Amino acid sequence: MKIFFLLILTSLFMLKAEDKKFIDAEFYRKSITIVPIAVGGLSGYEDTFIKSVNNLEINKRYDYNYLDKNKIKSLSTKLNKINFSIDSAETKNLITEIKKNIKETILMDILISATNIDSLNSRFERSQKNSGVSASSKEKISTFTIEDAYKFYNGTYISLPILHKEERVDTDKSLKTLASLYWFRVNIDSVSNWEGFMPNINQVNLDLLEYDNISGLFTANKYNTSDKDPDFKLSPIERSLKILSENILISSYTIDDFKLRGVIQDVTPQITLDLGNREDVKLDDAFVIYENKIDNGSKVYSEYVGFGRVKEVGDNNKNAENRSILFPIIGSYDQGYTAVSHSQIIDIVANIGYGFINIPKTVGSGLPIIGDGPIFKDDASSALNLGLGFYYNTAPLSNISQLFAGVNVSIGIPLVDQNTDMDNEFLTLNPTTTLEVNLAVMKKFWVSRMNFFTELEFGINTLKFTGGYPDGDWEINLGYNYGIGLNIGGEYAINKDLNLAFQAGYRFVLPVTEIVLMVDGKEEAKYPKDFSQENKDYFENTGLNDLILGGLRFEMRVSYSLQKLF
Amino acid sequence: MNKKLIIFSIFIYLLISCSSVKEPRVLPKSNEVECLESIQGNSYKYLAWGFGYNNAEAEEDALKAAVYAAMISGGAGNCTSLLDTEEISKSKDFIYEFFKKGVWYEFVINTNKGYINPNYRLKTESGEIKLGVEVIIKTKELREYLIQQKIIQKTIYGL
Repeated sequence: MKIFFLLILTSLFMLKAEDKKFIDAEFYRKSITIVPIAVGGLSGYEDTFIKSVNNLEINKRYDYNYLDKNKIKSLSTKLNKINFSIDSAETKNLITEIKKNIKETILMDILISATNIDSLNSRFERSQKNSGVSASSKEKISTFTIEDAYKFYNGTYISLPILHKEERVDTDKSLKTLASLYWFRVNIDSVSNWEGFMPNINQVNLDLLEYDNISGLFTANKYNTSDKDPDFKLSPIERSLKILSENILISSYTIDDFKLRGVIQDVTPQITLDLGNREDVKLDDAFVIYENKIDNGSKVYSEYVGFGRVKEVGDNNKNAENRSILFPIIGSYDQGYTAVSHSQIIDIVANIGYGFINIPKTVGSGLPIIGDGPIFKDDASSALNLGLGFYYNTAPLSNISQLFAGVNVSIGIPLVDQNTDMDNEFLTLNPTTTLEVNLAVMKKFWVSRMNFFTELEFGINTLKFTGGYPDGDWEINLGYNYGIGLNIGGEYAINKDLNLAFQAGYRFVLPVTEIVLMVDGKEEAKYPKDFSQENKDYFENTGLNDLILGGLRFEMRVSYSLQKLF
Repeated sequence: MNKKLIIFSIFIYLLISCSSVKEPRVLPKSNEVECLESIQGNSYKYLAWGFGYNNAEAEEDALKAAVYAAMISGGAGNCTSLLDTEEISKSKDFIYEFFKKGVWYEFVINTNKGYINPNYRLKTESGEIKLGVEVIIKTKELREYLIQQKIIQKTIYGL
């Protein structure tokens, strides 16, 4: 129960924390230059690292600049001399040193690259189509002004991953590479004293936006070492660095500067947003809505007003006026509100509930180990269920809004007293639990801040008696029995990430057909029901035929959307 | 008892009616106008801020403020107003009617029509919306109109 309150409190705190900050409504077109560096004993991997970064699947929201390998080497040589270590990675001195070296080696090349004419033409073309989110005005490229260059320079970002360690674990089956990742933003104060369209290098500052530790873990398995895997031919280090490179982009998802933002354009008859598939907006993408305010001291700030999801993506590649339609979940909106994208990778769901079951008290009697004494003092007719699940919104793939695919695990504690004394005094008995593992498909239907959902589950149920003896453990497993369940419920959005739901459901589980006795993890004996008349009689006499692990259940669930995986 | 209830209801009705009948504001509430540039010698572009309890009200106030600046106050920046102090004091009634009858609307173009820049839409602590709009005032046409109405003289102003 504590975890529920903790989640609610954390979310309320986060909600409070996002008040009173100013959010620039304009989404300037940004360029990213990733400069992969390897230091110390890993310097030999630098070329592979550069190759991995250059092969990254790029995101349409940004422009990517690529530096010449020799330029990267010049920075790498300098950084190798400054004794980079993970312990000093976040110290002010080291960061200052890194900035200085970037300025001396690659910064001007990045700026030239960020405003080269090809890049400008394509960026301008993208910007021109939508004045609401563009960096520059609607004028043609021929009238490109120094102010436009200023905006583009200040929209230049440098990602500096420094590869510093590799770890081989599990007898070389896994290879993990680790890097320190710095995100810098170019910051130029003004356009005065420029030489043409180029600022003086002394006018260019680098702001550290974020520092992050990232890793790339490659573990060999049956699939990825077979030729079915497209990366089959890559070496383990290449594969590890490929994963590491992908994590560079993932780390950008939670940085405010990279969050896509748009403007609420209409509120009747539908709420529209001036973003679409040109900005890579997907069905169900979440947006947090802000309204700009001004206080009596003329200070401008943005205040959180709500949260919504894209219910229809506008095709603004065809026509810039095509807008996406937003479904409001929290708050009411007006024209001119700012919408900032809010990444939601996966929902983690915790649930607690009460379910009807039937475990006759005679179940298990007569089995070796358990002996004659019943395990339970009475028939168990109900259980307390505790569950955990992970749900992924498949909307971008299935094109069906709020359709989730998930996996969940639940344990049930029968609400009945258990006998603690075993026939054999050297044996101990652990509390008995049921276990349920499911694959689930869930569809949510939103009505304002509430949604009604229906969930279909398919999985297995089992009941286990476990315990110990002086030299080890024993287990009596009543088989893995297929089950199918249907849940329906109502959910309330407490905030953009946290939902609270109540659900009712019914689960049908196939009857138990075998009993497996395990000692120290090894199968000692198996009793299939249909094997012999003796087994059939045993099932009948001990009430196993009346064992019902499914039934009606009522649960409360809390789900929290994770913005990124760890 | 019933009589008292009826009288009380009438009283409440009158109170509500009187409070909700508000004469629309004739002159702009805002005077925050900045002249941005002269366009082809016959128009001025302004960044005008307006106040209102919704976007439409604030936008209208901003447009009015820009026209008011072009005619009377000039606004911040390098643009001059069409009327001098003496003409303003002589034409107070004309100015009032000019805004009341909506004549002003013929001389203004809203360059942001259909689009609100969130950086220029600010809610004040009193709950009013302060909206910034880039406006073009057809100064040449406005001047000709004012000459025709004998508010200003033809030869004095260049534009």
